[in-house]
Amino acid sequence: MKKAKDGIQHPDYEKAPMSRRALLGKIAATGGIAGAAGYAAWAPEGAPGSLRDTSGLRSVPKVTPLRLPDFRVEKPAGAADVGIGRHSDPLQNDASMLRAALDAIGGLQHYVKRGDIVMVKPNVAFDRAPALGATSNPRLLKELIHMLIVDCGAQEVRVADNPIESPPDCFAKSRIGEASQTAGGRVYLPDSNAFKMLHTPGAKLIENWWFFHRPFTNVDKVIGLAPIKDHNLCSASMGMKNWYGLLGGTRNQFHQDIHGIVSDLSVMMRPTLTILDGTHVLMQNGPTGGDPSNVKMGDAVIAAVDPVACDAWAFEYLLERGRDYPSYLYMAEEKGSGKVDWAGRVKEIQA
Amino acid sequence: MARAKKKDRIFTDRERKLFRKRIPSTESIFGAGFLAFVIGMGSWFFAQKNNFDPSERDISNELMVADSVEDKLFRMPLERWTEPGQGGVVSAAADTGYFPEAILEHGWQPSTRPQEFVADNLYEKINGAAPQYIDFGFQKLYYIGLVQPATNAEISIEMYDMGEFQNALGIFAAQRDASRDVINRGHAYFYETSLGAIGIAGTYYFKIAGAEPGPEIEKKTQYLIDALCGLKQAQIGTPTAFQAFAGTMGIPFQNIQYQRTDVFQYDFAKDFWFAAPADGDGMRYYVHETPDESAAGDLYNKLLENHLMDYEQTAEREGGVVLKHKYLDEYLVLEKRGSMIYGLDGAPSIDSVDGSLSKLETVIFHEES
Repeated sequence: MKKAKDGIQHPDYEKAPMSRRALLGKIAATGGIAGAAGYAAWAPEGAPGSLRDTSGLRSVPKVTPLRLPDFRVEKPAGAADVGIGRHSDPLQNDASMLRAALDAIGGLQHYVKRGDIVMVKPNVAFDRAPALGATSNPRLLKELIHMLIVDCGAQEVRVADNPIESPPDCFAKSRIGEASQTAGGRVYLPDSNAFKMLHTPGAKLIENWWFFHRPFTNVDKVIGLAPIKDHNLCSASMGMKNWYGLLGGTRNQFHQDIHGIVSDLSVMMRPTLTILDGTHVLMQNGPTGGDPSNVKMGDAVIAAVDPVACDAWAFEYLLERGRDYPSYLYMAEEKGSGKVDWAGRVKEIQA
Repeated sequence: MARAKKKDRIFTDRERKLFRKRIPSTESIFGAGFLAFVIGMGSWFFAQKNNFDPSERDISNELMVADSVEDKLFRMPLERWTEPGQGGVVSAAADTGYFPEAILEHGWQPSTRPQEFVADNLYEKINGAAPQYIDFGFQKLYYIGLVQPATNAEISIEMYDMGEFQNALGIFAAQRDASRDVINRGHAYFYETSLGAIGIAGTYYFKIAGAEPGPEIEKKTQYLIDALCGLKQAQIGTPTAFQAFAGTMGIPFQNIQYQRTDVFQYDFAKDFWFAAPADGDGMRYYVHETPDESAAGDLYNKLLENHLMDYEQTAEREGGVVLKHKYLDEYLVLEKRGSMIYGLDGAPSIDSVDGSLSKLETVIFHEES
């Protein structure tokens, strides 16, 4: 073993003197890195390469909005756009009226194939009994789910809505929850994680808006099942207004432009079918009602591939309000969601 | 060579050796059968190509139901929320919020928490219907759901505090089923529906609705109306004019109207009560109370000046005038006494004016004294 000279320097130490050029190079590199870091940290927010984030907005996660597919299915040749099933004793025959209405547009099996996952959207907006006409008819929903599972062989039928009031209470009181589960459907209740940002090109008010997305995961077909109601703000709530129940966020602000939002909803959702319950029509004091005498017993169930024509026909004949249609129907027509003029496109079948 | 083979072995260097002296025929037969099964399956599999149709081999629903097991997965309950300690048992400490505890009598209990909504969040309860209530001066909504465990009957109470009796009357008139007779009991004016009742009591506009019609619901509805009448706001605020028309003069409730603005189509005339007696042949009484005598004088002069554009004066009375419409064959009386403006409109003949007006004066001024 070597010993340190003079007892100070380790004997294994090998002197490696640095040249001036190397020293300057290292200083320049260190200075460059420090300078770049300083620039990134302190340069103004707009400067290129700046990491400065005084407002905190730059670090907000970027939400990638989802897009809904078009769920429409071409109707068979010779089928009507709007099918109406009628019966002289509607209360006992709503199931056969539903079948008749669907037959008039080509039959449910044309639109829903074996193995499809089907999302059915009833109107469960309020904590109200079915007799008050503010929510979808549970008997009709039960029959529809039964047809989807047994006749069409659907893999799964989902039932979902984002009610105004407490979701469990609304699904219980309206009997929609019970009807869905008895028939074999699966109820999806909203929670804070069930919503995603939806991008809807062509929509003015909801081009990017929170949407009750979870029940739509991998869905093949979408069917709206809506009541026909008087509405305090937009005159009538029918098939297109029903999709309002899929919006999240502070959706009440859209009441300021109710016709705009309903026409936007027709762009947001291109459903496979729209079904309207014309057996219980809330003629006044809608959309909540509260008095059973406001509910008129009608004799029709409507199924349609054109939601605009469907609403127009129901407005005229079931709400009995003539052809003074709500503005949102014309706005929806302009946005390519269907045609208001239903003449020659309606077929009635007596069940 | 043998050594090379040994080197090839990884885990053992022993030679392969069959220890069994004989192979059973059962095993040989099974082996041959299994080989044939595997070859058969493989051939069938390749023969299928893309023609597989699961529906041809569906298991029948009956078989699946018979073989199914109970689903133990958690599902979000669709039943109403029950407060801890209240499930199936009437709790002495049940919270009824603003409502009197009397609503729980006869074995009923809350099925929801008592809720309150103000104008800013009313849409959370009734969404698009909210603006109509707000236009009528809505102040607060009290809500509770009740259930009777013994019968499973459910009923809910919506009670809108409209701030003033006139506002409650206004929303009631706007939403009322005109074909139903209004019943007066205590402080409440209401009509019955097949599921409950709708009406007003003081400043409250209430809706009572059961889930299904039935005798329990009918009985509970009547009981609840009496219970609501016990609330403080239900007992105050009934204006003198309404009391005179509905009480002393016995004019049917549905014939009594309150007009807040644009009375007689004049923007300066506000807050008038109208009442059409059942035998009035189109005639209506009207009453308006001003803050003081001079305000009554100003309003009287303005009304007379504007009425004279459509009417011509036919007679003069102690406190006012009798006017006849220039084109329609009907009479209007405009009177002023103290701070009150009152009279008749739509009277078919001048002969009926004196009798009707004295009847009105007797009632309103007698009550005031």
